[in-house]
Amino acid sequence: MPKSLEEELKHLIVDALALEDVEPAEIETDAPLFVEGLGLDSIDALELALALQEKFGVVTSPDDERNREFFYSVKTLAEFVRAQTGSAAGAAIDPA
Amino acid sequence: MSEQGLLGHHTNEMPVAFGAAGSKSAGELLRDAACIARALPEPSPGSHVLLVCGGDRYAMAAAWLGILARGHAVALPPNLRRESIFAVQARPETVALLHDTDSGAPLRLADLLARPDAGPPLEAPFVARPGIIATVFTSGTTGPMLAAPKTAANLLGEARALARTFGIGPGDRVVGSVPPAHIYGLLFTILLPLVAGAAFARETPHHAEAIAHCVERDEATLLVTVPVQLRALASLRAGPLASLRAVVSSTGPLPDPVARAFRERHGLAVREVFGSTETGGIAHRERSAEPPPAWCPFEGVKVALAEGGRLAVDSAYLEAGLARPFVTGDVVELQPDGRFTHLGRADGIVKIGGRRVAIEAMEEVLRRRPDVADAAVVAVAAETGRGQQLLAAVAPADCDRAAARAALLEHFDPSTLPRRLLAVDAIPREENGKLQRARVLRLFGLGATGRPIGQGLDLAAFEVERGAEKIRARAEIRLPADWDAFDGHFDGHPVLAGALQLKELLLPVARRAFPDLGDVRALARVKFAARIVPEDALTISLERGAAGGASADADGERPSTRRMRFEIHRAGELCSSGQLEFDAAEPA
Repeated sequence: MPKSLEEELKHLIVDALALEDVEPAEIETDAPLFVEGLGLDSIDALELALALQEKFGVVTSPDDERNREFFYSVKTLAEFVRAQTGSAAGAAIDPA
Repeated sequence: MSEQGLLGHHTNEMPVAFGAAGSKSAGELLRDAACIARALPEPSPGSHVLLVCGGDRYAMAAAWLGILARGHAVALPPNLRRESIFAVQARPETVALLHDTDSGAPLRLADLLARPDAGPPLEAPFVARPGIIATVFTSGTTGPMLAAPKTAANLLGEARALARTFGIGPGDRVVGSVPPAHIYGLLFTILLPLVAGAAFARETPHHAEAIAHCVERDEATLLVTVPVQLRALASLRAGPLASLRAVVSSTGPLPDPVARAFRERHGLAVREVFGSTETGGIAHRERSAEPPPAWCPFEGVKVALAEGGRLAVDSAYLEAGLARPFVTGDVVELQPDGRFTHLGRADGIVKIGGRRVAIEAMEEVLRRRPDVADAAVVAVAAETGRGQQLLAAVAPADCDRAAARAALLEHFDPSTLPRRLLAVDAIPREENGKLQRARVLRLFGLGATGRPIGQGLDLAAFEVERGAEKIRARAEIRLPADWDAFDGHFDGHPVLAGALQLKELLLPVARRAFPDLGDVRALARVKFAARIVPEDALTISLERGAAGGASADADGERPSTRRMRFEIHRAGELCSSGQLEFDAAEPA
């Protein structure tokens, strides 16, 4: 059974940000990732953007306001990745 | 044209600000600043106006001029957290809060700028009064806030020196991806343009695409940024940054690969700036080649060696009240021509994400917890944009990690908090109490270099052979004599423990050969037949079922594509062998 995109993103967050005390399954899909919740900061947001680009070939918006919305939670990140890749799958996507 | 003046190189019609919110001229800035000045209370000796502005850089510039014109100094909080703002607001010298928040407090910048009164504008060049014009609060390396008092000669003198060093003048357009509420952003993205006749972007783009969009749309000539953003920018396509003449980076070390990748992609060598809040700018260098050149002191900055190889600095940019020359905590190698190489910090202070932290102070905060008997904090190089990161261990193993973390948050900026906080039976120490750093790192699965054990192994040969039924991979490797993973517990007889053979040797090769494999689910028939020692030349052989082959093994349960046989040989002798089963294998 392939992982859902949401699960993949949780793994990516833990790996890319080296959150070794956090289990991917502990990350709530709807919870805020930054400041509250996992307590990530603006540097983490840049790291995560790079990791998303490497893995899914997606790029952030020229509008940081929209980027803040994308990076709000795992759920919003998954919507962002799906919108850019036009696919519901995760692992099978080739970086463009 | 006054040496101490702001806007001395602008005419009223020249732009000072640009961006999505629209352009503003020097004349508009002088009018808006005068409006703000008239809204502020009477000054008193040493009075401050707290400026909390995270958004529009034009509003911030107008606020600066307005506060100075009214005869106050500007107070900048260490960050935009509520408790920090309240702490500065509670100080007796703070007479007003000027802000762009939604708190409902009076003196909101957007309201003041939306209703300009009919009073006269400020006159250009605007000359700040002598003495302290700003107090920059920093979060402090040991917890409590520190105040850095700055004079006009400090801030505007440095801004003018930067303009000369980087050749910035009328016509230049500055985009800052760092907030202007900190000294680096303030100097480069507000004061430098205002003294040099240049203009600045009103917004502070953060993500690479947003920075590129801003530069391209407004044809910026100078980008003021930090290493982590340069790393992201290096992965952008070339083109959008074509209008830039210079890129400046500060707040932390810029890794060679990032400097190189940025240069190769965008054709620009990054100009790096070395300094601190209390000393102002010290030196600069251009990252046009590897290894990076030595640091070159800014004009007017005298450097010397002090006790312990520390860098001593004297310049007009040193904050008021500092001993001169000021001895920094930075250990350097000084060349006869005055250039220097940075060797490290002398005082247990590390820089995390651009902020300085005293490791001992952090350990002390942890040890003050009633259930914590001992604590250790170590800094390790981070591959991420943070430059370095902290790891903390507390003992005993049953102490409350969440409470320990909360205690740190009360004293330290969240971005500096240890990335990992482990609770262990005991902190490894020598008999005399000295911390055994290598053993602490081992608690986190890291080698003595601070890198994950096993990282950095180069394969001498690597090949994957895809048959109809089986996929085979073969790797050759020579183990370094000083490899982290060798167990030092048996003095003089380093061996590679079984678990580490699997984790550090076999799995990295397996993941490279078969990137689709999931997590390891089970081990079977694993045998360690012969010891693996330093400088062994090993052959690692892997084999798994091919997707198109027989769909299942004899037991019919798990497809053979998820099973991997392995053997590790040394010169024909079998060292270890076995079988690993993986989760969630996809056809390779």
